Amino acid sequence: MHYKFALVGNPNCGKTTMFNEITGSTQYVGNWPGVTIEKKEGKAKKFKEDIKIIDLPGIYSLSPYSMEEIIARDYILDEKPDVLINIIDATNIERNLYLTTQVIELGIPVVVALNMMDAVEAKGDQIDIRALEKAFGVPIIGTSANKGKGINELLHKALEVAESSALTHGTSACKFYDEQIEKCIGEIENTIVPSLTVKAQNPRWTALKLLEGDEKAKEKLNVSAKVLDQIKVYQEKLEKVYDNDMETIIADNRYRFISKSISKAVKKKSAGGELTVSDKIDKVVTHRILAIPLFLAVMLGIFQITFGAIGSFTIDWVDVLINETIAGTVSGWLEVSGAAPWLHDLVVNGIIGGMGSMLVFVPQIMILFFFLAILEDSGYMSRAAFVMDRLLRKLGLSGKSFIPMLMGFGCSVPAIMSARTLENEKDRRLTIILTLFMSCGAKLPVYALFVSAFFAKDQAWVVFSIYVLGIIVAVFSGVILKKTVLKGETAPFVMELPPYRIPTFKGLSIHMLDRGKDFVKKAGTIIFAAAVVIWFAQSFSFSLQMVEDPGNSIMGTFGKIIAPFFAPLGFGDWKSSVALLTGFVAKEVVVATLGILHGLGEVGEDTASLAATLQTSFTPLKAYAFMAFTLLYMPCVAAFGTIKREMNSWKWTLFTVGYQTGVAWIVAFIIYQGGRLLGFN
Amino acid sequence: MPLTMLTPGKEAIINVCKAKDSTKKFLEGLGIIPGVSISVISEMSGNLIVSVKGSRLALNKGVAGQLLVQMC
Repeated sequence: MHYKFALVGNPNCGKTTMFNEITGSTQYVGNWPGVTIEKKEGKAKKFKEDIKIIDLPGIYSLSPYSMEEIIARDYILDEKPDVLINIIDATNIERNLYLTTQVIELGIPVVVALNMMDAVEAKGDQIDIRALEKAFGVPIIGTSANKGKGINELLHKALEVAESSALTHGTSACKFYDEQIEKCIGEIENTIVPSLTVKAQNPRWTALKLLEGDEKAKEKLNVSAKVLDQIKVYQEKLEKVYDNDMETIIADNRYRFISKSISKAVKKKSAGGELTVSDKIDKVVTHRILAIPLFLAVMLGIFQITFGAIGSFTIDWVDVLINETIAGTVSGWLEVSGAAPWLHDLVVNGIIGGMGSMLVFVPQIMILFFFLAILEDSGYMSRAAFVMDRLLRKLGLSGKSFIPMLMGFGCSVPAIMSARTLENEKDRRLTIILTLFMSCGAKLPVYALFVSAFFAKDQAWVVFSIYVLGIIVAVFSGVILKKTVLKGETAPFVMELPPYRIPTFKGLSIHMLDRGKDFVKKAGTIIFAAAVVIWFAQSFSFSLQMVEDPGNSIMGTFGKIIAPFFAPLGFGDWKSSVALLTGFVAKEVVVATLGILHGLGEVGEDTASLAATLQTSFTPLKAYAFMAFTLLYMPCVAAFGTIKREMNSWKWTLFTVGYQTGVAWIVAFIIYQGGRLLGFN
Repeated sequence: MPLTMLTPGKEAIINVCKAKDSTKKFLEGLGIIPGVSISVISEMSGNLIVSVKGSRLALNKGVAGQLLVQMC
């Protein structure tokens, strides 16, 4: 038999940890709400039945608010999984059960996993699982996903439920509301629901949704004005009795039911109310005076380590490995085997030179991701969002935009996608545009190359200034765009703050190695192909003759055409122009192209001598303008595709790309021409 | 009084939520509904970290001002 089980639950309740345990995969688990933004699928291992497991984004309720909640709700309603496994954070049981009441009402078989039971036991609290089962009318299994406990039992129970419900089409008979509301639901179910043009699969749920006034449900059911009037009678009657609006009455009733059930089943050792360790840390981390200096110190520390002594040490080490050991050995082999000069040139100069020039930065990028992972896993990320909210609000954004922006320092693609946690479309578009100005990891090799050539003494500070430049441009763009094309009210900032956790070595290494692997894979595929194409284009002319002077090659001819566009920015030579253009494939290719064009990879050449070659065509001022342009101009093709998908509009995608390139040109122009006026060189 | 006026460390009961509908629904999912007790853990220039039903929520000044509470 084939079965589909979907995991639903609040953000940060351990769904992805559970998913990894069941399927044996290694999806990234973070400690902030919204890590899983897209549903993920896997197969349950250790079971002979064919069980597909779907990990959905975390949601607080089934009333869709943000895009991820819509994804989760649509999946449940449209795909009809066989069993919903509702995962509950047992340390926060009351709030988590709110979603459970809604999930049970859907009429799809539900099994509840009461997760993080180890933490409950550690606190000395007790939960009577049998009593909860009785109250909610669904099977409940205690689990500790991070320790792998209870997982098998959970799956066996889900399988059992799936098999039996296939026979009975069991819908839960559980009633969560008080008499008056239940009476209204019953009446609507019996009189109004049967008269609907669209036949309801679950009459009770339909009746409830009509009473609640759920917009999506009304749309789907194609409800007539006459029916709406009938419903209105019930709504007005109840609103008068309870002196509140309908939605609040229903929500209140659900919480009342939960409180009543919990008061019998849960025994807490401490009464609560005292400050937890997390609260004490928050008192310092979100302190009105200390918060921002502390945040800046953390960021500066990360930069000093990544770009300072430790980072450059790794670069030197890998540089020697690739450009001396590997290039030398391969070159030796080719000479011994008598390979043709063009083949020798392609392999040593094109492939090793092109790929090598970016591979040297892999350890440094991994260091950066290691620190980003610590920020995510410890729980500091959502605090930083909170601290930055007030600042971002001045730009017309909420603190929620901060997370995509911070992730933008890693890679724009996941960063753009994480903007989904924003609830309103204009905020999301603005966040995406600004996120692109946060310098991504792939641009790092470009800076590293130029600072080592021109700013050897102050490497970390110069790179830091480039990152700050990106932030400043984002600030100005935010103010301008919010006042012009993206006018609108900013959504309020409401975010759950997970308790602080000490990051696990396993979690950090998964994150870091994943990134390193991505980068190396990219080097082996896209960059490899690009290196071959670039080598070809700079070795042959349009008539496919091998040329002595690369200036006469396909690339040279083309570069000379576009070079005047960059001349006012200080780097009007064709090699730099072409290098920037090839950056559309991936930003690291800028360095690869410069490497190939300047003959890196030839025996005895290493990154240091590429730097020396660059000194003949650049000055420090030109180099800085070049780095600024690289920072700001249009994103790589992967990010471009992601922007198109997330913005879902060609108009906005092209606007974004055009805006970025325009801003890049203007900023580089100001830096170069302004710098010259001030007497810099 | 609005939640923004509650002294950190003190507990109060939520009376009314004046936020617009979609925000209100989201807050309901997080446990913020009339009748629930809420306390302020810390405050940073008007933005609050509050404790509701055992979890910690960050609220900006604007939304905190839309929650009216009553000292218990």
